[in-house]
Amino acid sequence: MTAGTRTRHRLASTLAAVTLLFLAGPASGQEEDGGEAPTAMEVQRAADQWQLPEPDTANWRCRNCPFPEGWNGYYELGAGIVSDDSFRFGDYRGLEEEGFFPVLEGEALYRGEEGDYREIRAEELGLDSRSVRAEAGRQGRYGVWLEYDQLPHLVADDTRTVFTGAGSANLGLPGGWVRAGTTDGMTALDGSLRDVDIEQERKSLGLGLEVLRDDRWHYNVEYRNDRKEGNRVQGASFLFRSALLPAPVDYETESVDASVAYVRDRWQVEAGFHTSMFTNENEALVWDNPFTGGPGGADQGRLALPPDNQFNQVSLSGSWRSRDSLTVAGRVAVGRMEQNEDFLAPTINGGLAAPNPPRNDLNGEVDTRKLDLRVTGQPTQRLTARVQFLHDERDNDSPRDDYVQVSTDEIVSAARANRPYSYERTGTEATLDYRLSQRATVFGEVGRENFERTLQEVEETRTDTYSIGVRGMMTDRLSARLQQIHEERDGSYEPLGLSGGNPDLRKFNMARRDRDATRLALDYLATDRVTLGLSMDVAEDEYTESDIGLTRARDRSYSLDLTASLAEGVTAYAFTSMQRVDADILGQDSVDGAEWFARQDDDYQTLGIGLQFAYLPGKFARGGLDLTYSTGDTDIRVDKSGVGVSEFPEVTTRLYTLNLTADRTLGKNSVLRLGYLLEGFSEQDFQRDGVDPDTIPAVLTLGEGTPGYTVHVIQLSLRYEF
Amino acid sequence: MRQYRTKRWLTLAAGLVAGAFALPLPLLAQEDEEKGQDPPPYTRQGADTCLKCHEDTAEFPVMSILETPHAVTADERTPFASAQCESCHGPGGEHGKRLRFGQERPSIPGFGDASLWSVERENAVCQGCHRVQGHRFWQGSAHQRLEVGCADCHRVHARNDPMTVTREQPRICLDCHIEQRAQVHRAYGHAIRQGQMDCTACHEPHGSLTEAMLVRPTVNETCYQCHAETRGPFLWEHAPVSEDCTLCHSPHGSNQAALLNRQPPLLCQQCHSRVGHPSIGRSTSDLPSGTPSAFLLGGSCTNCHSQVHGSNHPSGANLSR
Repeated sequence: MTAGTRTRHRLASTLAAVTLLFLAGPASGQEEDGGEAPTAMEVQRAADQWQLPEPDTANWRCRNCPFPEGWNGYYELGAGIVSDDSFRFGDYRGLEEEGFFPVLEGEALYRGEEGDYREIRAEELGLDSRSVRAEAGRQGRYGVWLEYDQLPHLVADDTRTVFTGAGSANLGLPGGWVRAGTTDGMTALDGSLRDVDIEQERKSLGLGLEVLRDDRWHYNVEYRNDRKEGNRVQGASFLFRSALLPAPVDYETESVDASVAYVRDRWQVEAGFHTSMFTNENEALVWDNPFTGGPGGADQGRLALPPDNQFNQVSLSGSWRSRDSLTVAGRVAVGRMEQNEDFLAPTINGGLAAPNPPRNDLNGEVDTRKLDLRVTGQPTQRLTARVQFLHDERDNDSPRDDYVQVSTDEIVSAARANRPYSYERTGTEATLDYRLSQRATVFGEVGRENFERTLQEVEETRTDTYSIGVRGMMTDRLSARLQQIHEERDGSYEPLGLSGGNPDLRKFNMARRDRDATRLALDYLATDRVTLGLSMDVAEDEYTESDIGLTRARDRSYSLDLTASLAEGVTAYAFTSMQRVDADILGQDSVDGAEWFARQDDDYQTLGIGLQFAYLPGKFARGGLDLTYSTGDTDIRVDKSGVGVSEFPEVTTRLYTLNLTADRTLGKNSVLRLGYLLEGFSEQDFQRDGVDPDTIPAVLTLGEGTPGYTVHVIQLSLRYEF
Repeated sequence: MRQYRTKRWLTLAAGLVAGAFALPLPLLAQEDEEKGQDPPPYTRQGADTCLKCHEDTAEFPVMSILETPHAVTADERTPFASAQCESCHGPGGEHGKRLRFGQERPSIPGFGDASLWSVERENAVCQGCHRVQGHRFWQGSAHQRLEVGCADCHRVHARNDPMTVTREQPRICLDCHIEQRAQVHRAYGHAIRQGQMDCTACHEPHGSLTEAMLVRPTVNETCYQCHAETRGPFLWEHAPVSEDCTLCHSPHGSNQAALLNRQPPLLCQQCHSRVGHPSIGRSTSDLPSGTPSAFLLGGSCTNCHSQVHGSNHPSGANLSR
């Protein structure tokens, strides 16, 4: 069965369903009398028309209303203990070390009679993942806030390097280092390895001000400063020899968002400005060559680190709603990305003669233009229509020049011209929702998108999308949504003619493609206390003219959900999900060489169960249990002409998390909080497992392996409310 | 065979859905019938009437709303500056009146599950005030079309609405977005599972004109909020990177490090097949048990071509400097 036949079968099935719905007609004759529930537009109108008389509030004193007075809030103090050291467990948590940690957080809120307020919230103050937010103002008039947030990202702590100055912009080799052509000849390697953790820490500071005037003018300005410091793994090569380096990360991003909006009952407009400035404290990374034998005799290499850059954007957006059913919303955003950091020399290798670059810096300029427009209307009581238009343009005005290439600081080779990439994407999408009955809506969508690119193999692609579906209540207890989507992407592929390029390659983001997708979701109220959910999402991509590259991809996911109210204040849930992602890739060792076929299958299973108690026996106030278990299995198989089938070791991840909480009331205002967290993780990855620093002859690695851990965390804290 | 089974299953599902929809069904609440009728009366004393029954120990406690911005009487926009509880729930005179023996108390519209009102009508109440800025693109958004109610996500009576608390918000979103719920529990992902990042860092649930309801005008601009080092423009660009980050990355979670869609070198070989090492299909002989290959192990392609997001080095055309 061909893809086209399958598509037609699916479309026919769905069309049959929709036709049946149409034939079924209105669910009740009452609807013909206009007795059905209102649509969104209708209700919008109803809200406007819902002219209730103003109540006589002369005697509405709210004497029984215990409005909070002065400061109130809570603070929580306590301690926890972590059972084991685990860098990976501490990722994003700050709990990487065995032992005790403080529990410290709280909230304080003050509300005055005139609407003035002060608020402070603090979370995880005792950890590297701490955050604090303070806010003050007068409600309905103005507000100012200050925020600090910290986040550790811990990647690996089993990593080792021979380089001195790890994490800095200059990496040297230790005294006595013995260079060699391959890692097995580096006789001083074992004695030179030093531990280096791969980690980053992000610190964000935010400051904002909001002012409202006459409930019509809204002014907003927000400043953020994000600092990211630490290191990252970066490959650095000399022709076919490479070292993985602990490269420095010392980034700062400052951004400002400012807007002013004018709001009326039926329309509003907002003008906005966004600026973002990125600064890297290090412009380059220099490292000593641990290898010998390069043709240029390079002792050092130098690579560029992310350059300083900035982005400025102005935008104008708004919406308008007519008295009947028409809504128009739109936004135009015009921006410019700029980058003019001084170029490095073509090589750090003084033994090579290479001409200077044609420019001192790129003087890079990319103009961005984005227009979005959406019109929603209700031509008849049953029909809602939506038309959406987008124009997305990236216009790269950076100058184009020829740059003599010094390949990896070893060989002076031919000049290459940079290829400033521009694109223009224009799309239109129309959607119709037709209310067949009070309970059922049938819908259809058609869309077209044109994508024009410069300096790429395809000048223009055109993607047409068609979709039909139904949604609504099948019975009093069963709701359903079914959608079938078909998409066709077309375009003329013209290989760029680069030396050695395979003319049969089709890059998947612009290759001809047929996509079929089916989505189904069912929710069933089994009893007044139990709800079941089932969902399915299947998508299949066929790259119809790709002989080399990605030729087919499938993504199928299924989920089953159960939620139950077991007793008063006791709820339970369970879910399981399965997703399988397959990709077929065709290759050829050279234009006329051995053909090969690769398939990657990713299988994911996720299971979760939980219980929440709003009330517990005795003095326990509430509690909860959440358990999730997630597995990922990646199978890679390469079938190569003349070699046979290679089944790679499965790449697996296993992650389970158990979270138990219980609150015990100690007094009117105090609660003892108990928490237990258990998490286990294991991973197998053939790219890292068993790969020591000298395993690969041509690559001096950091010896990063796959992590695994089982960590228990017990936490005990006292929460006092004031 | 599997394809045939899938087709049969889909046909069956479509038939079931169609058949069930075709059944004549009773109507839901007739909100339209209320139009043109005299509105019910308000209570005599507003919130004081309501709180006689709805104190904190009652079946439906409501007191905590008094600690929220909705109860700030000095702000004339708030419900408590006007008709108090009845600003949102509608006139409660019938619901709050003294009952005769055996008489059932008339319901008053609540919000959320088992509400007397339709989702649209509930939302219209909230949108009577919440119509500015972040909410201006609600009409026509995916959530509006699928009839998501404000009360499905927000807890108006809670002192701290969980939707505004980073470590609590994802649980609410992922109740419906079940594919993403599974993805955030994968081995590699953003800091959502750890409670350090919420969905609204990237998405605008009240409606946006960008695909996937993103907070910025494009996918990449959304990612650049935190990853500005990849923005450039670079002298040597990697076109798909400039075009769409999700061509290589799965932002909600992955089995591959760096949230990659596929395992290198296959990730790269989807688009690169030049003569020489890029085009060579790797085999198990490249594993440590055979001849450990620089093209497969460690960082694979990025052992050398590490500037995958772009390079500003004059000699960086092949993204290795």
